Amino acid sequence: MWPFKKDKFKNLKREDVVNAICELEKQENDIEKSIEDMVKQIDALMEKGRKEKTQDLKLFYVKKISHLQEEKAEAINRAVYLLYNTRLLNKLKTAIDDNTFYANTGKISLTNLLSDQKGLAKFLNKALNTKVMAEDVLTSADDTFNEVKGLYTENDRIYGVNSSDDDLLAILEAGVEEEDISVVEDIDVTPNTEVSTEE
Amino acid sequence: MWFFKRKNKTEQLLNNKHHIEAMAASIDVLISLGQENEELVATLKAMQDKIKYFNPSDKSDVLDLDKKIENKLGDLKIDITKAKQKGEYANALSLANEIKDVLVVERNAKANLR
Repeated sequence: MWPFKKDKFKNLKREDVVNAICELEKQENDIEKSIEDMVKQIDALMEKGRKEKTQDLKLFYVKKISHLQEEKAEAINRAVYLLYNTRLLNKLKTAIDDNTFYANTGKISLTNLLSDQKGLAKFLNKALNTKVMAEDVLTSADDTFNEVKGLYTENDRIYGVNSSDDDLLAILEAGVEEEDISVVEDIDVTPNTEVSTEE
Repeated sequence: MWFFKRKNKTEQLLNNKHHIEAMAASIDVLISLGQENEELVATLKAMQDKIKYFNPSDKSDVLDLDKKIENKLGDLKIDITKAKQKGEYANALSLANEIKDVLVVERNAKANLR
């Protein structure tokens, strides 16, 4: 019926494409073997023709060689055509594999999740809010630490310098200067009359 | 809705069983194609023994693996056809070992998971 065209590719099976490729490979290989045989025959006839002294026989060999060369050229054309055909069938096989691959990959449930953009945005925002809230908890705790620490003032009576401490500190500092002076006073300035044997 | 009939489990298992039998039978063709190479024939026979005893399953991931194995067997057929002409079976052997040691084992593992 005319409005319903049969879709040939709908029922295309990979198995059929594989069988077609195998068949073409066999044909191409048969042609290749026949070309090799023809080349050998041509070489043999050329050798015979060189050795042959009779002109008639030489002509006969020449005719035979030219026929074989024509057949060889036609066989090469057929082989090239088969190669091209095989290449296209391999492309068709790859297209079938691609179709299956992308269809199967799409079926994976996690891939389906990614296709839901709104749901994905909602989920990512939720994750971001969770992260920000967790960070806020830490920074708030840090602020609390600093606030409480700020309320504390050092007790001067324990850690500060009172008047008696001040006097002692002054003595300590003065004591350092007195020692310096006494060291200077201990040095004997009087001239030494006795000759020192140590020199 | 009445006009959408979902395949029941028994029908799915039966279909998978037929599919497994077809795969095992297709290996006979490969064995006849590659009979010149003993190592390849041995690998194919070992593969066939494993595939023959696959458990039928209705799980989607197992069915996908069956499809993958079937596709690889098709590629193997092409490789063996080429190898037969040229006498070099290295690629075909490598693919056959990949199917036997990786895909078949994975399929069995997934089919036996509850």
